[in-house]
Amino acid sequence: MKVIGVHLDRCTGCKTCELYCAAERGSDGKTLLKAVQESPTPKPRVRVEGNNQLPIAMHCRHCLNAPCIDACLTGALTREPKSNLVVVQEDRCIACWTCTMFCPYGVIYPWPDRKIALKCDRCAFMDNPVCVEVCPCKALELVDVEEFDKIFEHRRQEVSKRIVGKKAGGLLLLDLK
Amino acid sequence: MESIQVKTVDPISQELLRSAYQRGLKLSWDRFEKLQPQDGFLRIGLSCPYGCLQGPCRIDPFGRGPDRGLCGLDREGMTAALLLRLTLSGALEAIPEDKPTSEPSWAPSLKEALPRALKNLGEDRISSAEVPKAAALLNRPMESAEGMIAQALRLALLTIGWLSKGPASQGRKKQLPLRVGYGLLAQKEINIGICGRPSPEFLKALLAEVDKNLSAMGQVLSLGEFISLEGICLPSVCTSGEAELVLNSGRINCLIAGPGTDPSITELCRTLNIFSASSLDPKSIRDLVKKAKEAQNISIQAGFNPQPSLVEEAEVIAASSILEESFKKGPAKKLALLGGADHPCHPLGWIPTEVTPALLGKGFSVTGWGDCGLWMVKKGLASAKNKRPVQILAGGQGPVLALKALADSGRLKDVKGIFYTGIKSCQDLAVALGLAVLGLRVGMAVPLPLWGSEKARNLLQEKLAAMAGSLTHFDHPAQAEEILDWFIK
Repeated sequence: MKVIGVHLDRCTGCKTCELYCAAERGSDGKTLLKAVQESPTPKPRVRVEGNNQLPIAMHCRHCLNAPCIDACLTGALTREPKSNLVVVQEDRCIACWTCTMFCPYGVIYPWPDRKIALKCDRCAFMDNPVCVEVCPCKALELVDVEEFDKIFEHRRQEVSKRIVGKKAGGLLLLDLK
Repeated sequence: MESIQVKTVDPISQELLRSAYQRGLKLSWDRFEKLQPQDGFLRIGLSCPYGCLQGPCRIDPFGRGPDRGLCGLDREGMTAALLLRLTLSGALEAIPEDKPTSEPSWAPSLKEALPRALKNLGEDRISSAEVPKAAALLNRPMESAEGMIAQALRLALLTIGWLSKGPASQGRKKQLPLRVGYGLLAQKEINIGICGRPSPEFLKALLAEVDKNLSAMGQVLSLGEFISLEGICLPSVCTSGEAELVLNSGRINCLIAGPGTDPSITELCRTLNIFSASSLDPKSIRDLVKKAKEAQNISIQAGFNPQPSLVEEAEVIAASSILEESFKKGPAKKLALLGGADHPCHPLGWIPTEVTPALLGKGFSVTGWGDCGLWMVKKGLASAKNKRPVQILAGGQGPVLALKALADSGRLKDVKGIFYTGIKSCQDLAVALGLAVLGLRVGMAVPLPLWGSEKARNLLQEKLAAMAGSLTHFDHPAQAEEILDWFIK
């Protein structure tokens, strides 16, 4: 299973991901210049939050124990068996917004104009998610969960070096401060 | 590599592009691809152009985020202010160098269009005072979107007035012979390339030095600009979009970077070990010729041997009187003006080589300028051998030169449209707007940053319509068929 990771040190909060997500995924025109002329106004499925110092692009995490799926009254939110992604079946959605209230990350959005709940489906039918493709700083990256072990190996090494560097004896707690 | 044909339509350029890729060089197309998508907020005009440094403020076009800037500026005001800022830069570019405080001049034949434009803009006359007025409006947002658009149109008119004072439209009967093509590179052993627009004094001294020291061995070639000097037009190897490819050919021994040269050109010279000097340093001329001689035997890229016959010739019109005569004599009832710069969102040369023959076939008389004009010459469309050759306008003034001739010959009404293939400077944008203000139908193949505000777009079109003009710009890079339709319908 692949997830979208955010390099916090690279995200400048430019909102390019938001703009192009709305244009490509929320509009009929599929280009930014056409999308801004459309009604109802296209909406993005990714949102940049945080402040100037720490901006971060927020997407649906496609939790494996997804509370939104349990909360959905009509069965519109389902897990697609092949990709393992949580998707909204728009024809079943009754726009009750229960899922938006249950999402721990707040990344399912009501779209009253179209009477559906809107969430990231990781552009499952495309080669790469739009947000990952357009990010000018390459802050967004599509990574395989299986590779987490390897990706975060350097963090373990850094922490272990720091601990060993203290040359303390006896029992140690992994206090990162 | 599969997409090489969508980068340029010229087979020789494609060959050079392939060789550049094999050598690992990064050219404009790579930079363009890497820049995609370009800043969405700026592309639609919703990135605030006021330099107050309390921002940058941007308005979310989809309504979730901010709908106003910090000062309260709304999307209409922001888009209109961006148009005003771009037009102001364009007007400043057009200020006559010798007389920075001079007033614009107008052809008497514009007596119908000009008063109509002035009346609609609420002015008796347009003067250089429009510049400080626009600067004051761009100090802090205080004017309505309508007011800012009107001011942009006044500046556009001022730009036309200033450019009309240029040397080429002062009645000199001049037609300059121009040669264009890669074959020029094979004609002499030493080639000195020129980018940008060096001063006439520098060029004069350079040509004298080349004549003295290199005589029959060397020549000075333009890399994409119309450069005229004392009745001659420097031969041009390529259009400005292909200048990097020509450097990669290994046939340029040294380069002169005049004002307006892109940083990538001088950077590429460093990478390829081609000696380059600035035209702002007149002392460099002797050194330059010496270095060119030394570099004579250094073959940067073996294998590029263009046929010397790959050269097309044309007469470039540098005076409105010549154009006026041709408009008077010309049998074509419909006139089309097609010009402007190369733009990487289209394959280089695609629009000129597709649209021009189609327009000629439909009975139009076509006049070209800029890179588009060079493409027309390069593809033999402007050759005197043709039954109805395309007319090419000298650089700098472009369509402004045609405007006076059209007005004097009484053929303004026959102009079906003035179309820009690409816009490279704010001056081009200001001229395009100015032509629309004077009641002409103007179009451009690249989108303008106005799509963020429907109201600002409508205000602009309404104002232009009141002056019997129009400005068409698409929400996508226009295709050749769309441009043809635009002219025909």
